[in-house]
Amino acid sequence: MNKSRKSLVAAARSRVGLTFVTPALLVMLLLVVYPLLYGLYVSMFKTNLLNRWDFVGLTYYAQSLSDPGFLKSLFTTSLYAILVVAGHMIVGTGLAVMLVSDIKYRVVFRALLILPWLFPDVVVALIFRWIFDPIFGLFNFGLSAVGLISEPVAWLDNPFWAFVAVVLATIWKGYPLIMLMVLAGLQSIPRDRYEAAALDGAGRLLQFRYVSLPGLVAVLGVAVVIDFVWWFKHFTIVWLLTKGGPIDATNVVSIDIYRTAFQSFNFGLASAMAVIVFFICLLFAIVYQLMVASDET
Amino acid sequence: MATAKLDNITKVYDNGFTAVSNLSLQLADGEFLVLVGPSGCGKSTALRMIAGLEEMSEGDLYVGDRLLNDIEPKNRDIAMVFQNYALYPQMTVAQNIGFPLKLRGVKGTERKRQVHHAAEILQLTEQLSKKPGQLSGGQRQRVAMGRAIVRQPALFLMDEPLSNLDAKLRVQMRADIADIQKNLGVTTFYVTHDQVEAMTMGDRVAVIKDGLLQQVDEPEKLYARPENVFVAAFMGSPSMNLYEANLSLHNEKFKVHLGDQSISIPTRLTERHTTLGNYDQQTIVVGIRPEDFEDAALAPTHPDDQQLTVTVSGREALGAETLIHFPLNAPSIDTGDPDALDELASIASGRCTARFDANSKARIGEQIRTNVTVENMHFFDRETGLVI
Amino acid sequence: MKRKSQVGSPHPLFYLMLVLSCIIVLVPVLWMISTSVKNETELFLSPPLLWPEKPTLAAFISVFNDYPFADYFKNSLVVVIFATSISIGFSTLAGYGLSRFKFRGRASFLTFLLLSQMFPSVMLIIPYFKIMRTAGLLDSNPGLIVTYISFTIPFCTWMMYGYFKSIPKDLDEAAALDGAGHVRTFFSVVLPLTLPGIVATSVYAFITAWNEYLFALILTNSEDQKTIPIGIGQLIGQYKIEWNELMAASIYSTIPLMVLFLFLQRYLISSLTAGAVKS
Ligand SMILES: Nc1ncnc2c1ncn2[C@@H]1O[C@H](COP(=O)(O)OP(=O)(O)OP(=O)(O)O)[C@@H](O)[C@H]1O
Ligand SMILES: [Mg+2]
Repeated sequence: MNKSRKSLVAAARSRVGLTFVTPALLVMLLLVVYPLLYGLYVSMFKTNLLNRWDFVGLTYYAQSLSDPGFLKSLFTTSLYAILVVAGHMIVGTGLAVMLVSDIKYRVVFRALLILPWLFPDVVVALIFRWIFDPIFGLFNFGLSAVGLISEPVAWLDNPFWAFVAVVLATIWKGYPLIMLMVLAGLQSIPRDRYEAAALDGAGRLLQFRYVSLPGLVAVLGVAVVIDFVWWFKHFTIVWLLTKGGPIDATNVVSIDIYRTAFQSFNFGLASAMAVIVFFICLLFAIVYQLMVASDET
Repeated sequence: MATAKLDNITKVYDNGFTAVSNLSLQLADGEFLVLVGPSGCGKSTALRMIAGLEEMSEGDLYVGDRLLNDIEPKNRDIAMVFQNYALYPQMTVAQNIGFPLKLRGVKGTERKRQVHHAAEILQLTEQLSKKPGQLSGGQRQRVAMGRAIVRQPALFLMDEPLSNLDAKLRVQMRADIADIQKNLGVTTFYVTHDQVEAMTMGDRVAVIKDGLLQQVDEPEKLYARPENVFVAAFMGSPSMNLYEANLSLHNEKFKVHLGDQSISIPTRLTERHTTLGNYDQQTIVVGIRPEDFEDAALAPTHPDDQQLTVTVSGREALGAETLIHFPLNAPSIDTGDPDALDELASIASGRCTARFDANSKARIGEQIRTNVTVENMHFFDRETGLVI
Repeated sequence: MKRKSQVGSPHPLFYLMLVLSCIIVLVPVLWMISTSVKNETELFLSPPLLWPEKPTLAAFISVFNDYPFADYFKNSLVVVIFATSISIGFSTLAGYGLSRFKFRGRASFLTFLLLSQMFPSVMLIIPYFKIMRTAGLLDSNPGLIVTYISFTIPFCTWMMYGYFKSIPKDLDEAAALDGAGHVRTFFSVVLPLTLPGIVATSVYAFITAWNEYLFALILTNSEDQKTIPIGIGQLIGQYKIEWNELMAASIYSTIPLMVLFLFLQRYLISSLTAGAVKS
């Protein structure tokens, strides 16, 4: 009798809990899980999503994994994401460390330095496209004013420089979030730890090395993974700056998939590519989970 | 107002840990029962099961004639004062106190009247429009009390309500809570790890250790007649001195060999230890409370076979009395009371504590004789820890 | 709150670097503003003028006259406000349920919320395109609303879960003993305390939805259904790019975020602290 009574009470409570969660759960099932499975399904068909559904099995996976173009775009994306994340970490951490010291006008500096985060991706892309404009752009104007170039350079038409420009614009857009996270992390380190280090004779550099950095490792670790996955799947800034060109120099996977699906209308192949990207991100997600878990213990 | 009955209540947490086992207690109508025990022994768990905040794994709970096992907390007619008060930060004091009434559909003016009445009892009238964040610890504690008393529940539960207050306030609130409880006459189940609180507040005190009930009794009886080594050591401060000793029986006298010394006790003085005779020539545990020692110099007529010769190793003059420490050359006992950590050091060194009259001239390093009030000595079985 | 920071006065180089960083941030922004108030001739001068001789707000007006910018704006507002409200509603409920009750699948749900942040959105485009077409929601505000809800619910739920966890369960228990049911406890006791969290989470959801480009690009088609990012983005595809209008439009699209941030930054920054570091 005791046993059944116990499970009754527990069941009542768990029903209440489920009721609170149900709306969000339904949304997740209908709008995330189902589409994901559907994407998996599409990846095994040669289809126009309307009336033609020819089962092709794993053909598209084999095809994309042996396609040098796709592999190259994976490489481009990785390089892009790695450079962007590195930039964010260096700039974000550097600025946060400076902001947390007892400087004057801290609030002003912080407000200004957060600005890029508030610009929509589209706007960021357009501003930089306009700045890099060969003839009317500010960048060439500046360079020629200091005498670094004599002829206008079409930066976005050069494969190497276009890639650099895309990376720089993305760093510009994304560092504030890292800066804020690190700032929060730094501010949560109790001041007496610094004071103890100072009494032990540690200068500013040593204080950073032995007090700030250990306190930041957890924050930075998680930030790296989140940031990497976020920009690995990014589309907008790159698309609007270069459309993936010139000659595929900035052809990140999101653009590759978009084109395959909505310009070549090869939905099956595009889905297979998306699933592959999914597994790459999943790998990172697992790394992230492990880090969060180890962080909690 | 009602009686309450805990019948073999057990709590096994999801991780398989048994926090409370087979707890049975009965509270008379209007009784103030204190549950006391060291930290982590399952007091809060027991209380939370009564409140319905934690499921009982086994057992039955009655308040009055009502079986509460399947009743949700909100329908149990039980009020609880939490250790950290759990006041609603966004509500004023008046709203906090009035919340239970509001939920019971008590209308505006009537509610206001009752809130004011409760506030008067608790001297909170001035604070009614403040938010909890603007109150002192003692005031918050009173608001938490107010929320409990305003609706005259069948049962009060209090989980260490005084532990967040400073020492002075705690003494004052101890008296206040006891007063209010007597005036309202609500049956109260009070949890604390502080044995002084338990002794001073409770009509009866239940001692619990590792989820097991050790003894329930009136405070004086608990102190004078502990049923096992744990209760003996836990109740009272400084703790009872507990040593292993060999017992021998000669000519109507027990001889207790403490190390190389011994104390003689006429058998007529140990009448309540009825089976002590069975332990002839065996090792038992003897307990002597600090106040059952006295400086022999102050009471010279004491029989000298009820004395010990000791060398004073420590002395604390407390004004009305003086605590004297000395080593006793006998194995001391692990009582399993983790709260007694500070006393552990003294136990490890075989240190014994005596409470002498303030007039005692004993000084550190001196060898003195100390009387033992043998009729108050306690005897326990060495294996089971139970009283003999 | 006590300031916590490194000991010792800041290095003079810090000021130099901070000022430099601010310049790098501000130059593009000022360039955007300067461009937006140029007229057409000044726009296409080489070398460019840093600041127009005769600043004009003409571009800010012509954006509305020459393009259906009012429609874009309206669509963005409708889509974002609906998506944010629904997301916040659902995720607040879910966050409470997850933080207060045990039920089967709770842990997996939490993990899934976290993992879903890792899914590449490109993986969802094709299914969404197909599903919306089947449901007849292609090229409509509701289609985008549904999409943005799916974007925002996972991280909103995760954030709200964090906020609810930071509120002591004792309060719920006190309310239960005071006689409150679950719904009453949620609305009268716990919800008022999470208001800062709700504000911060809403702003994140708002920004995410307001900035979204890829899905809007694929799921809308006709001019009167497009959102601002799409509207601005397509200005660039034209034969002759009117940069002053483009920059004016960009400024328009940024203003709501700036305003939100200005008024709510206190909540946002403290929420970052809460999320990033454990106390
Ligand atoms: N949810 C839980 N799951 C598993 N074990 C628990 C849980 N809650 C409490 N415990 C364990 O049960 C035991 C009793 O806990 P309880 O809170 O009742 O102790 P307590 O006597 O109130 O202690 P204190 O005086 O410190 O408040 C402890 O050892 C604790 O670790
Ligand atoms: Mg407790």
